[in-house]
Amino acid sequence: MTLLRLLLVTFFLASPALAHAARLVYVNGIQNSFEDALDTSKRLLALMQQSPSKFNLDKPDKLTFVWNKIGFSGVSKGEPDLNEDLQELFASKTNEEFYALDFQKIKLPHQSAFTGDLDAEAAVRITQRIANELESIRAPISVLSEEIDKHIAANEAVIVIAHSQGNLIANLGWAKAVATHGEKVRRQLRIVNVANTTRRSPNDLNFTHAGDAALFYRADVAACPENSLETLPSRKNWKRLSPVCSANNDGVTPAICDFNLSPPTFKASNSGSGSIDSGSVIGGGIDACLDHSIVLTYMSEAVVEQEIDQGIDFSNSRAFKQRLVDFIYQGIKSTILTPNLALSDDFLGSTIDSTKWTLVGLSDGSSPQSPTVANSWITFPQSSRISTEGKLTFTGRKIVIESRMVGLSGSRDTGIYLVDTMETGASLGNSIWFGDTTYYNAMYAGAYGIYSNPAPYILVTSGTSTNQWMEYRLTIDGDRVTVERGMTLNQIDSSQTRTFTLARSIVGRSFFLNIGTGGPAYSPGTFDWVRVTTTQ
Amino acid sequence: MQRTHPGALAYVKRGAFLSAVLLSTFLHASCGGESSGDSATSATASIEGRAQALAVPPGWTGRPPKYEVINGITVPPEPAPTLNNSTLTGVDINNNGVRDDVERKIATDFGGNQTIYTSALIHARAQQTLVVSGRQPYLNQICNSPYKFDKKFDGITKIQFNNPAREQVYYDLARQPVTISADGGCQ
Repeated sequence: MTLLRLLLVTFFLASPALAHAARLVYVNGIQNSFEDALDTSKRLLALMQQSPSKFNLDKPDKLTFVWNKIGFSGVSKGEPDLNEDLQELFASKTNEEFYALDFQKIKLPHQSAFTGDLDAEAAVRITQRIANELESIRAPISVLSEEIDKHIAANEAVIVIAHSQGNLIANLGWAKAVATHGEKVRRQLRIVNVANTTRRSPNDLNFTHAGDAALFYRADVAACPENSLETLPSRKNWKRLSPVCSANNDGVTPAICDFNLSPPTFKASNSGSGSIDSGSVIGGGIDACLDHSIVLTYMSEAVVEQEIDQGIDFSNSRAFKQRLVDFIYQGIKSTILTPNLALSDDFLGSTIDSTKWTLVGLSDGSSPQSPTVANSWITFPQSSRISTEGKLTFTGRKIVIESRMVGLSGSRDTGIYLVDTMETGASLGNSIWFGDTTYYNAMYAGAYGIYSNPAPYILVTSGTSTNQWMEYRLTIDGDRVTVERGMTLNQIDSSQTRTFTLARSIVGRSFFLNIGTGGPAYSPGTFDWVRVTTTQ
Repeated sequence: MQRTHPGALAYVKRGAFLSAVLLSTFLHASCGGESSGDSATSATASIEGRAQALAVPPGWTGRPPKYEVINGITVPPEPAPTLNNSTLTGVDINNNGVRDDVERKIATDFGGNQTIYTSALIHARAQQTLVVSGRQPYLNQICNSPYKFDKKFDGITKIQFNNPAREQVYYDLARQPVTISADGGCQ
């Protein structure tokens, strides 16, 4: 039995994630005909298909693109539609200044996607600002949102890859998704911001290089006319009134102010922040000056270095195109709840593992009795408990405790407490707990202290107390608790499963584990094994 | 070396018949018959477009249209703008799926490079399919062909969708997302 369990644990650890394909969605920038956006989309999908997969993930086999039209009509006519695109950018960047503070409240870095705060009310306020966008921008936001909605409803993960102006659309798509779907975005939506025109990257997946002259004024090269988005207002003499732009900061008089952008996250490998072309041959035509095209620059062979570390697990290749692949896979990976086996003890040997446990006894002040460790079991006499306090703590959005345990005598209380680290020693005042006892003649679970409403505790019971070995599982997901048991965990008796809601979520809290027996009359109790998995 | 499009041969074979029709129509128009060249542009006028290509546009001099050679490529004559722009589909006198004014533009701009020229024709034919048959037939053509997009094709698109009614057809492409599969399909 122990060997089988070890094999299962090994398998569990070797499989950090289930095979998990995600739908890619692309939103293009300005001056892209439909055929241009289609061509880029085909190249993006081909790049993903040709690159090695990462993190044991499936390669995406489909990509959907939302066409962000040229100008107001979609057809390139030269100067007039370029001006229309610039008007769109000006309006969107101005609008962004009104929701920038709220956007900070719906940022969900990929590294803490399951623990970070999401302010749904801020998302609703941002969504209301979409009405201030030009119709030619509202339309692709609407199409993108419908696409996101469709995949979220189908329980699929969506990775939106936005380029240039597409970022202003995608970030509003993110806000709309947070407002509509709330918590679901944690495991179903990420935005990869390529050549980011916005002030924020919602998931810290900003893929922008310092030499992008379509974005950054300092990247301008003498041979080419100034093109940066940063200086668009001063170049065009376009005034605006926004929370960050007014004459003499009077809040009333429109003024000409340059735009703020997210700082670049990459730089050329052989220069500080100059042209990405240095040492690399990239594209031709206008992109030779701008180094802005997603195909010619951001999917090129140019070698680039990080300027800002966003926690991306990079491949060996430092080529731009591989870095983009790495970003996309990082986005996909971050949508997967990856359990971490935080504690596993089979109670081998003849003493408790002192790297994990400390003898604490009961909180009634009685002298703690040492448990007996033998035959890969640990048996607690009366007033005997052990705790991981100070040795192992558990945090996460989801914590699962599993154990095989029994109370063999006619009077028993064999159980496990997940104790908030605000407690010390034998105190169990703020905790979530479960076990089997003849006191209630049942399997029981409940919570104390800040996790209980009403005070002083929550208690649920199920079935009848048993002196048979049973396998138990307590699952805490945010504020939802499920307790279940069966002869094995594969044979759960669903009629005995109980659920309840805590007074508060476990997210942001840390815990230690405390196992053993109850008061003097309710012992002994024996454990075969115990393990804890946490998911961030 | 001069190249001839498949559609051109069919036209030559029809030449005598077409001349007779054109002459007859010209005489009819001269006698007070209504000109079809000023008919209102309509989204449902795709079939009429070809029919009108056989008609004599206002101001016609009486000579049948002649093919020309541009960059070594035989192309139809420049259609009269009034007639060509009076319907969504315009004039495609050689019936090769590419509007005649667009075909001439492609020969002019890309005739010297066979690879780009081939893709440019696919680009134009697909866009004409969009006008005539709609979105999915267009996507089928452009996704399932040896088409290589070139930014210079924006010039073709500009001519292809050269008035508000045609522009609307292209604009409507943005109303739905497009999904590309790894096997090359689009929908």
